[in-house]
Amino acid sequence: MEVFHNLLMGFSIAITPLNLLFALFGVLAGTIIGALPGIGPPTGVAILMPLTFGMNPTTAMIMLAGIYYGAMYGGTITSVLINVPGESSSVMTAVEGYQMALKGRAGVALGIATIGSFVAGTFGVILLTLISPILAEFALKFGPPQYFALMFLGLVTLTSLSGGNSVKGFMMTLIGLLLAMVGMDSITGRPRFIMGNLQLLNGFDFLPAAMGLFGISEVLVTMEGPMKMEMQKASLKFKDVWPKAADWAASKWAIVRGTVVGFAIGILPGAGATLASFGSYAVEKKFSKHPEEFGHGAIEGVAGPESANNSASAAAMVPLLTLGIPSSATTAILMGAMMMYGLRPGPLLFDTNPDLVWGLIASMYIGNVILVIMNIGMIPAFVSVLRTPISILMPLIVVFTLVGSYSANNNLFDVWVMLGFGIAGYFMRKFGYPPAPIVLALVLGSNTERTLRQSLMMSRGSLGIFFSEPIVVTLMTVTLVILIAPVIGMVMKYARNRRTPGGAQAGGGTGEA
Amino acid sequence: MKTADMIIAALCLFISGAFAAGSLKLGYMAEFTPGSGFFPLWLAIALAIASLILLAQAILRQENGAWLPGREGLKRVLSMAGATVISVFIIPYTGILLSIGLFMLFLMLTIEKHSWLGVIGVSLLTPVAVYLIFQRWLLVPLPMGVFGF
Repeated sequence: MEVFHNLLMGFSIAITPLNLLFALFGVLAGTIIGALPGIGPPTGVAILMPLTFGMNPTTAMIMLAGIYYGAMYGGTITSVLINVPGESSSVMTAVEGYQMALKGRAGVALGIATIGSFVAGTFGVILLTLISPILAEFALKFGPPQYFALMFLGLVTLTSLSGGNSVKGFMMTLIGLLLAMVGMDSITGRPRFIMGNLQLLNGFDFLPAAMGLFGISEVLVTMEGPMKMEMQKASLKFKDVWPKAADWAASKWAIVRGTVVGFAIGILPGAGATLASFGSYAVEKKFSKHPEEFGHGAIEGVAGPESANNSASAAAMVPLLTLGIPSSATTAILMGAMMMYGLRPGPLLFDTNPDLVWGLIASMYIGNVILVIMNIGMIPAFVSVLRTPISILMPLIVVFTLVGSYSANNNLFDVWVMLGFGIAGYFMRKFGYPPAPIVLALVLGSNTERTLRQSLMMSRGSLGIFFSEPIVVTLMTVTLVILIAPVIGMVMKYARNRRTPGGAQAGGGTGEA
Repeated sequence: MKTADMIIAALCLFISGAFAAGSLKLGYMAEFTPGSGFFPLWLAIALAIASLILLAQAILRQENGAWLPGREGLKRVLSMAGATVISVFIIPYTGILLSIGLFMLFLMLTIEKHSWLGVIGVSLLTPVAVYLIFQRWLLVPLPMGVFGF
């Protein structure tokens, strides 16, 4: 039982006072960021990352991951009390949870969501503990073609799941990949596309890009809206929050199903917590004996999705840690952070940095315990944070991105790059271009290119290498199907539209968390 | 949306053209293996195709919906964006601490009414907090201005 030995070792790292302190700080910051409307987990991780510069990578990752899964808890508060999703994976909660609040059941909605989150989060971490070492062992056999196929799959799925017009998503992925080409060629060391600017020799850093695309652009979009939020009044004492027997009976299977659905979706490359919560909501509606209650405050519609986004966030750590393939914007930023600390996420990480991997996993057990205690007992405190005026909070976030992007390399050029991405990101959001694929592509870009070129070197230029071995063939086939499906869909839609003019377009964006 | 998509498609076509030209100069193949220009060239071609599809979609679409926020919202977005750009611009002269102090002061005076105590307190405390966190704790050498801080 090597796993238990490793996990114990992990706990011995995670419970050192410093790591505990930063786990606490991470989940606390995560809950608040999750609760702030408009500010999602990718923004939270990006703007707080500068605080980890100079920290031991293990402590840093414990804190950053804490922000990620902590945000899954915090998003509920806003959804239930203000009817605005605190982050994208709490959209469904804003539907059901707010209806519950209108009926005076805000406390129970928050309580069941927290308990569901804890069950699902912990179960997710248990599966993460059990699956990761096996997958890492398996992935050790992967060569460049397998890695290229995996990254290709990850990029394509995230893009096609990012909502709205998939052509726009693919354009953003391609722009991100092209931006990743700027700087030194990773194989020959030759400078590319730097337009005579030596600052670009190291390429576009993902951090200013992420801070701009998420931080600044989210602030600008938030500034458009009202500066005051209507908050439902609710009694949030322990006895109001703790679910009653009837609530337990109604939600216990929803929590179980949400946990399973969330993990299954979260572990897929490209699918994150947001999609998991949507999936769980659909499942609950299907399983429910009284589907007509959905949309009018069905407790299962809160318990399921809120559980799902937590097990999904634990599941998303599996491909990140074992394969080095992030499945969402937030995990892409986590991966970028790891690369910045000089680590290489992937199967070798389990051999080269077992203390980091197991310390991080162990900290997630602890983090979930801290979160359930905080979110049951301290909801009023988080609610009072929500009362901080938006007109003060938003400028403060900008200040953090300005100083943060400067402090990565101590240079103002990065600040300008960050601002450029921020203003571009604002227009992207306005016109339905998802920002998540750019960040993912920036993080994966140079590895994607390297593995592609290495594969083609191995095969002396023949593309046949991507259709030569079962794993690669499977991955490439899945990718091509996902890639071609929207094209077929588009042709069919176009054919339909010619008969019935004025086809509507679906909007919305997922894939961020 | 229609006009915006058309502008963005054109912009992306230009970007793809620039990258394609650069890639060809770098060399598609190096000896028998893919060269520095290999991957970017394919990316540029793919981006060009995607941009053309988007352009076609936009041209075929009728609607040209409004996207600008309301008057008040627009004013807030512009003050925020403008204040951010200006405060980065003045950092080399004022240093980062004074710059963000002025940034907070400006936004707290323009976006919403706050008490005088709040305005002064936040505008003073923000740079102090940034100084303590970044300069003292994280040991980041923050850019100083002509005033020596």
